[in-house]
Amino acid sequence: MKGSAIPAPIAGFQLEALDGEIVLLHPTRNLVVHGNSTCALIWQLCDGIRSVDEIVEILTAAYPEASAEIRSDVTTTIQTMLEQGVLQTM
Amino acid sequence: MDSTERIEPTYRLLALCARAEGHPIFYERLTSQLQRFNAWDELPAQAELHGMAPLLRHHLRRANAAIPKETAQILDGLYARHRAANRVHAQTLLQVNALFAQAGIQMLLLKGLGLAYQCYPDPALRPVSDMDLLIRWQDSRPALDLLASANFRVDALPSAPKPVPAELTADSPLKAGLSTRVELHFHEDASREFDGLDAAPQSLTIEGQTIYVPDVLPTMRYLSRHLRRHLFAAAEDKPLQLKWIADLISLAEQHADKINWESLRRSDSVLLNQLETFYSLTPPLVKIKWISASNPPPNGINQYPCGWPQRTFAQRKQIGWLKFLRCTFSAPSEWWLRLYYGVGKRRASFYGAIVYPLQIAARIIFTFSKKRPEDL
Repeated sequence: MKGSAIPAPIAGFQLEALDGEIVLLHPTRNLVVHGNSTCALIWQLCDGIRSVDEIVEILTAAYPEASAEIRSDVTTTIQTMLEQGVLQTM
Repeated sequence: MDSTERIEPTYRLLALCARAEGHPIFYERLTSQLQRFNAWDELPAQAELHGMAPLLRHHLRRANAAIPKETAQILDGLYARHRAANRVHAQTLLQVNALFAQAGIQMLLLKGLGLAYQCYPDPALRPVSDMDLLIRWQDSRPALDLLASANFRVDALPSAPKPVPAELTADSPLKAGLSTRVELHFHEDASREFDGLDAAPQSLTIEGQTIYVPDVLPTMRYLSRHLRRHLFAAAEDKPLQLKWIADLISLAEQHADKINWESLRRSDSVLLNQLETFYSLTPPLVKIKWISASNPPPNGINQYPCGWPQRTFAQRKQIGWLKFLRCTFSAPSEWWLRLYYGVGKRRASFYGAIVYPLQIAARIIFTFSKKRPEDL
């Protein structure tokens, strides 16, 4: 995935937190996507304005101790969410 | 040996969990049932069909049950979905309550959403599909006008003031992608379904707002009538939902100390017999354990009549006249009879052989007099 790609949530999906995990729900589509708190954070940063590079930058500033893994975590998570149909690229 | 062992395992597990609160004997039985349970694939769908998915998840988690990850994830998703939906319904309730309060319209919140807040440790454990409000018929026009002004899509009022309609509906604008259907019912309903509900209403506080609900015993009687009405039309693919049974059990147990059980036995044996039937599948709290003393589960649990009205008259040709008639007039299962008529085991066979066929015949005649046979 290119760092300039801009991921955006598919309209209607909402995030529900459940005991340390998250699920993404759509009110009319029978699709539930499960994830962890990292997914939740990345999902919330995917607003259709920020690029992947910018999301990586924000997370690296917030968690400098994990900077080595952040890029691969972000791209993998975004790629998975694109495949699951909860994100799209602009 | 557990007397419920002959019952189909998925229904048996769901029926066991049809209660808001667990207790030690309940969790002991749950753990024991889970040891031999293996129908995990069908469990979430069946739980959802009965409006029981969140409550099942709640009890499984409380019991620290080891369940397949996929089942747990589906139940998590269903719980989250119901929680999000109930949040939207609660917002709509608060909006309508505020509108009506400002206009001096008194409303009582019935059934689902009220019970979700009254009886369950987490309101998301009780799935709600709509919202039932009881108001005075004289308030129907201002109520509908208020809802229309708040962008609800409302039913038109009937042109004649009588008879009072069974209900009028208003669909809320979308919130988080969901609309709440508000069903307005009226004290003056000729079916007398809502009789007694306005005596001594109780208050609930939801997000700082006061909401009124009927008192406990009138609510239990109303839920019992509601359950019987649904049971009459229930069929295998549209079963009597266990969430309604959970409501009655939970309300009874929550108020077990305040209910005058002796008086209830004299005045409302139907309700008490229904409770006894429910309690053959889930153990009662110790303080009311006398309800299920020597109470083996009835035969034919979750089995429904298979003639009219479960099937329409138009279907008689496919089924064959004789079979259709036989299904229509044969005695329903003991479980059905005990729940519908609120009778004990001994009287159930009399009701099946005599009362039920006569009642069906009377209903058919009554319905025929109003409709064409093909519409039945």
